[in-house]
Amino acid sequence: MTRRRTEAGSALIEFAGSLILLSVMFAGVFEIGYSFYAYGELVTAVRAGARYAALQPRGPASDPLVAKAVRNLVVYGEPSPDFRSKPLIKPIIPGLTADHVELINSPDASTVSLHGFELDALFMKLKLDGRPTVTFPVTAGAAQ
Amino acid sequence: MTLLLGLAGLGIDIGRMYVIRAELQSFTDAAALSAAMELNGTDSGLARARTGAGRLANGPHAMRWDMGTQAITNIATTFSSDRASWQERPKGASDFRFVRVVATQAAPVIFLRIFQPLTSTNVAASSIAAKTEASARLIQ
Repeated sequence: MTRRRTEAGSALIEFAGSLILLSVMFAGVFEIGYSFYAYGELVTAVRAGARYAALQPRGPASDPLVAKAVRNLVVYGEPSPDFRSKPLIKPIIPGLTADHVELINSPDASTVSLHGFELDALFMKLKLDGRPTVTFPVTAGAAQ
Repeated sequence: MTLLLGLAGLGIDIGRMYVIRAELQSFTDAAALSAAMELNGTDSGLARARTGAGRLANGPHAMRWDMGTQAITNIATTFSSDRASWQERPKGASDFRFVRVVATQAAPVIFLRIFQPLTSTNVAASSIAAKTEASARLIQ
């Protein structure tokens, strides 16, 4: 009788120990998996922004509008989101704002990158400064 | 335990490969367009197109892989007039209007080593762009 009770206790302690190990492992896998997922989404969004920018006409009048549209496209997935819509429009990754998106136009290319964005992956923060970066050559009409 | 580690590893290693593929795909799309823009029927245009992809992989705004940490180094640019036969260094530039850019990088694996004696596996992306009259477009 005494012996059985001892064994039951040790099983409980072993279970508790393995539970801690397993939870830490699962949390770690979740965290890394989530950062990969989020980074993949960000690459796709930044690519879409750069491609969009490269297809727009250039000029002093249109540049600020294009820059705004590119920021919205990267953050919300569309160039001119309806901010009064319900349900409220959300960034593709929590915490991402238009201020994190940088558009650089050179005469023959458009570069979009993220700056100062911290990807919140549960236990750690992944600092994204200058990545992802995507550059597309300007292919708008006959613009040279 | 091995099974759990294996599953976790599959998730992490394969998740990483998907990220790398997305990055390489963005790069080849841009590189193929950029090379196609240079094609103008002359030999000098062809020469610029041949090195066009490399320019996007270098410099301050370079596109990178493995979550933006590694430089893209293995880039193959080939040209075609009919999208059937592809040549790296075509003779005579006049009718080459298709460019294909393939980027291949060895993605490191961490957990899949449990099953296979390998330390990396190749991840590749490919894009084809066509030169149009004044511009270029992606066709694949």
